[in-house]
Amino acid sequence: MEHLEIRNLTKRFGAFVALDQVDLAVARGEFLVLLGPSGCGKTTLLRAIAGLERQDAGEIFHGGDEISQRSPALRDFGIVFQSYALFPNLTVADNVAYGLKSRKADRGVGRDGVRRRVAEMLDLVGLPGIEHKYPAQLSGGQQQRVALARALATAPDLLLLDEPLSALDAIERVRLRSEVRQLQTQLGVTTIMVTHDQEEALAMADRIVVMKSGRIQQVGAPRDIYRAPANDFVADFIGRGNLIEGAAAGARHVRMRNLTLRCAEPLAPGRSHRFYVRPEDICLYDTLDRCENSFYAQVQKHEFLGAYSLVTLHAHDLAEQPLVAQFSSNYLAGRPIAAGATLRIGIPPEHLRPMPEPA
Amino acid sequence: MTRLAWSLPRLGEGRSTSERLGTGLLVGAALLLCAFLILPLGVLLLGSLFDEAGELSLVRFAEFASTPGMGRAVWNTIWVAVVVTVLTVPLAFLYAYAIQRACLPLRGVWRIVGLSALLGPSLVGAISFIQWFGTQGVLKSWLGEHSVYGPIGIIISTVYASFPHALMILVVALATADARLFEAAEALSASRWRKFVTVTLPSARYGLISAALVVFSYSVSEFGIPKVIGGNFPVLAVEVYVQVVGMHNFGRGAVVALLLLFPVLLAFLVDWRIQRKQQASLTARAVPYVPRPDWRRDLPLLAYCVLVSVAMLGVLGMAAYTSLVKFWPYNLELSLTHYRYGLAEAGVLDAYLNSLKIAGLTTLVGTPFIFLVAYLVEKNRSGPAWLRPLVQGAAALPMGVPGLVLGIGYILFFNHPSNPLNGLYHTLAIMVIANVVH
Repeated sequence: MEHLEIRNLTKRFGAFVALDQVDLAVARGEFLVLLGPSGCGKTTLLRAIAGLERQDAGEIFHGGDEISQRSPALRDFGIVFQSYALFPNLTVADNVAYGLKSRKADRGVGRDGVRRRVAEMLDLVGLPGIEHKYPAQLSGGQQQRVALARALATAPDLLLLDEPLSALDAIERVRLRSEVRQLQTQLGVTTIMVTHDQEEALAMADRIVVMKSGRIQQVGAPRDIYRAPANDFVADFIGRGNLIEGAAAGARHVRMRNLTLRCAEPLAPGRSHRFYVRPEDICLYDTLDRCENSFYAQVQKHEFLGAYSLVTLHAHDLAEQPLVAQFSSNYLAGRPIAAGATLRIGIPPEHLRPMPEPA
Repeated sequence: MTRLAWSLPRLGEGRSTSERLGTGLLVGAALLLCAFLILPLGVLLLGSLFDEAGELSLVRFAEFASTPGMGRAVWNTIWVAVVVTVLTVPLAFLYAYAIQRACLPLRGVWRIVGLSALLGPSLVGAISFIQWFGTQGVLKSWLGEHSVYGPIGIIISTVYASFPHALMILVVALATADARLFEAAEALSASRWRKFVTVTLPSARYGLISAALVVFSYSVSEFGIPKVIGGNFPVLAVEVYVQVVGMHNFGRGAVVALLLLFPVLLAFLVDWRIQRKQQASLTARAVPYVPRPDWRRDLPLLAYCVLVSVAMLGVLGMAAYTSLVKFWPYNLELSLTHYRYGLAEAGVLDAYLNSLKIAGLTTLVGTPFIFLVAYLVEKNRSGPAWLRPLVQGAAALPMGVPGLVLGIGYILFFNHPSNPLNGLYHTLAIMVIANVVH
């Protein structure tokens, strides 16, 4: 039995369809990330799971029980919002204890129990001893840690994170990112996080759900989604990529303009395919190197970005549109690349991946 | 290069001209506020500090303290104000809550009815309550053994009259709320009551304090209501009037006026301190709260709104009805006699036109003046550094000064034979100035 199961969930705001018959299953203990551009329905899906938004159709099952019509208070989850949403008039301790004091079952633990639990939670998020401060006295990262402690204090069965890191500055974001993931692994709490940041999703998730226009585009482990995007949207949204058209000239060969390249995956001969090449998979060779799948290209633009360079190339024999390659600075080892220069580059057969075509 | 060098100093020159103009205007505003606000109040203060012979003494205060009944008046004023505040603020808060945080039909109507007491002067309520609960009142039996003339009448009339003032503040205080806090509380299984106590009340805290201070000040300085419905119940505001108008004892009037000023200024000071402490409770990330229909909350609140509205309209309606009746309460035949007689024959029409003239001129003169001062204080960075806060403080001062106190200050100041502005006394102009300042 799935820990959380969503069936056929639909939500409309007027004429706008925020969720279009979404089906999703979440396993116990996994860290699931809902990823997509703004307006794709990821936040609406999270809020529907929380009960903060009521779906127009479809069901949600939590541990086998249908919770579709329950109020948020009767669903067993903790939630962290993008903007912390701590109670500004309450101390950190009262904020963390807020949920403990709401539940009748927890009233039995008494004052000492609550105090101990608060201290325990603050320890957990790495902020011991700040019980008596007010939210306004804390930095953004600290507030978000307190919000996390508040959400976890009731030991919920499900943790929902609504863009928890996007209000923080870049350094704090990366730091908290690994902290949250570590905490989740430690507690083993099933977690669903919403984000629009693909790097965040790749770094944190067990599985990523890519969404667009209220529909799920692809579900999979970060590596799979990156390596084998299910469609153009996913390919485009996760990382950069080049799309090259070609016709299969045999089971393992493809003809592109004036070039025939070998492809590691089997192809249907005669059919035309679109191939997906990640910029970092393009290799740079010596000018006279004649190895497999290599060809000449002219540098159109060179962007130096510190750790790596982005090079826009035009390979006349391969395709009409330019090709973007990414070379790490270490890989270039000081070789200068200037606009107008001609380079020998190549696409290793295993990195020339045909896109799945819609049937 | 030369052209650039040329244009730079000229640019600077242009700016300094406008700066000089700004400073001049600011000084002018400061002088006007001095003449028409600070000096009269100062004279009031001095008036209370000098005895008949012109010696500096506290004899007037001593005299005041020994006046029989004064202690009672002070005590009455305070406890009535406390009771009025305790009654009005929760009533207005619930009403504002119903308007802003529930899904009621006809929200605009409830709002207008709630503010309807502003339509008439404070006396309207008092007069109407006499007709409802007075000796010949329709609902006299509701009060049982108690008479409406006295503290009961003062309290209900003041509650009625100050309700819209509190309502306006609270409607604004409850206008914005952060939906995320409600969602966070909801997700943490907070009960309806707990959400109210931990989210709604704290976010409206400053509005509540502000409303309480306004109502308290209103009650302390209100003079019309106790005069009309107070019977023999002595309060300070009436005492000032008696001392100044009845007994021409300006010195003692000044003492009472100062006493009136004291709690009001105290309240004003508290409010000012709180305002400074108040942080932006709504950040840019806040999501505005939009109530969703929920009959368990909406129905009782709707009933409450209807109840309050009926009461409010009852008060207004009775006043309107009485004005149309031949001789209340003995001859209830409807007629326009009072309007004809009242307006044409008793000189009320003249008074009425004068009132309109004063109000009109106040608007015409006051609005540009206030706007200009506000503009100068906010936008003008020139002039001595101490000038702007001074003008700002002086401009805000009348908010806390009861009209009656200001009026007595004016009498003492402008009526003095050696005052060069003496000519203003007894004119329409001084009424307009007093209103603008206030």
